[in-house]
Amino acid sequence: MTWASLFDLEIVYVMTGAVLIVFAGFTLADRENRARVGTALFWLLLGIVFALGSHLPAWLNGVLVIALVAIDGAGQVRQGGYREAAPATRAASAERLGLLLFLPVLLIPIVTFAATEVFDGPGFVANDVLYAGLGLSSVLAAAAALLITRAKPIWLVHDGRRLADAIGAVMILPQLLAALGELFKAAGVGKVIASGITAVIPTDSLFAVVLVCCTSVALFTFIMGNSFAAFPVIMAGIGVPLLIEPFGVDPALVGLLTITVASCGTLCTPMAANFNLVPPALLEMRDRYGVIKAQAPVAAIMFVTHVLLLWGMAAFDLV
Amino acid sequence: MEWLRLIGVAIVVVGFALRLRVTIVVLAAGIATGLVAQQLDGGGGPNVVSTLGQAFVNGRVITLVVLALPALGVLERYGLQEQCRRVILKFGAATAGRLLLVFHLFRTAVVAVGIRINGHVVFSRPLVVPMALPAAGLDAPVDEEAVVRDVDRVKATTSAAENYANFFGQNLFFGSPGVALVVKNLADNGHVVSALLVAKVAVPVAVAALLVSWVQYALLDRWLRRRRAARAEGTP
Repeated sequence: MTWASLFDLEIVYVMTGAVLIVFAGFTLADRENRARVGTALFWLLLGIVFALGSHLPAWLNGVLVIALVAIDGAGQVRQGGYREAAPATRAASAERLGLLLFLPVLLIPIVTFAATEVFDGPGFVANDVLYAGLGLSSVLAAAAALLITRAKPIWLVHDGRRLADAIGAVMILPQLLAALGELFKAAGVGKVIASGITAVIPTDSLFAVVLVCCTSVALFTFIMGNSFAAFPVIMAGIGVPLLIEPFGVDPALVGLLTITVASCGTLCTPMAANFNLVPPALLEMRDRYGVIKAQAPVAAIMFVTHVLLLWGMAAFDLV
Repeated sequence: MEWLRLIGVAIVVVGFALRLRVTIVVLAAGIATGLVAQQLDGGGGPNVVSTLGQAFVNGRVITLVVLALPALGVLERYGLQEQCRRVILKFGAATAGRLLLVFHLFRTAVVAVGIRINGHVVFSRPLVVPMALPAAGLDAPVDEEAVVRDVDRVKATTSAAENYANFFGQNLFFGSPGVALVVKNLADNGHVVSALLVAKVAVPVAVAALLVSWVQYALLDRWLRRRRAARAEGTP
């Protein structure tokens, strides 16, 4: 066994799958969950995709994905009961443990980052070390959390699935959107958008393309209320074919700034209800759109900042 | 008929705009795109369901966050959120604007180490707004109607601070789903980039967000001061 084999993503996928399958088992026994069968099935199937995905035929993985979406579509992924601690108990515990409570969570980025620094060089794939490191350090964090709190290990399951259920089927959304990006790529969606844009604007001007890229991803996000959903479309149509490939702009720069400039659209749209419309209700504000109004000027300045950052860092090769 | 390939884009836009269930919209867009492309390219190739399955399996790194949930959950049971609030309380500030600046910094730090929290529920309502209103002299108004706009603006800016720090700070964490989506998407397009580099690009974004918001927080303080002065003089 070599060090490199420790950072095998397959191990981490199997671990994740196992965690999800354990969640599924306990969910099935959760009588407080009105959709315990559906919810359990959801985590079980996702667990199977994780643990066995590399070995199952592609069509079967596809069927499992469709099943996951169908369960969610039928509204059968819900929250149950987790025997939560009373607020007073939590407050007393925070008083007792203090800053120690942050330690296990901090272990995750610190240990992972250390791993990427130590296990560098031939034989190691940087991103594999990073993502496998994230998985392994999460296990370390769980052990540290038990050590510090002296909690019974069973709470790892109950509180873990409490958070998983709270996120719900949205958990798979980023992964599903990445798959959509791959399907777009295979279908040549990007080429169609890129040729349309080339017909309208001067795509030999770096600044013009940067402006169009930022504007369209923010606008798409404004309409849809979700920056992750806009991302694969804009990358396929503009980011990759019109910025990265012709101008040789650093892909990391284009990718990250495209996803954060989209947030400027999120800040201005009532479509992102959880961020913009729920808070005014939660805080009992008079003006339902007060949060959006407060955010709009900052969003506008951040938008301009993104255009200048992307253009400037690309033009002067600052990455 | 090439434009028909964009059917998936249309489905995504319309589906999200109509607030249909997001997973269904994305799946429908993927399958429709695959089917149309197969027709236009004269059949052949792997079927859509297989392509979808393979693509989803290839993207598993994006959902690795699942592994961190047990640790986070147990820590929450033992008061992680309460401890976060204690830290903010300890840093209390003299004015609403300065309090929001402290909150913005703390909230960025929390999200940058990979702790995902709904800050509107956990921080804004129980803690930041109740701290900001007294700091702005708005906790026990003589005439509630006279300060409605002031109170609303403090609450709105608090929610905004939560959103700024969350949106522009979350990709500082190299393990965030956002960074993973970027890395995966670029890899599918033939560009291998390190997740650490992607997260590094998030640094100027987070700094810019802090500076721009800072101005807004300072302007809030100035506006509140002027309103207070106007009220003291008895002018509306």
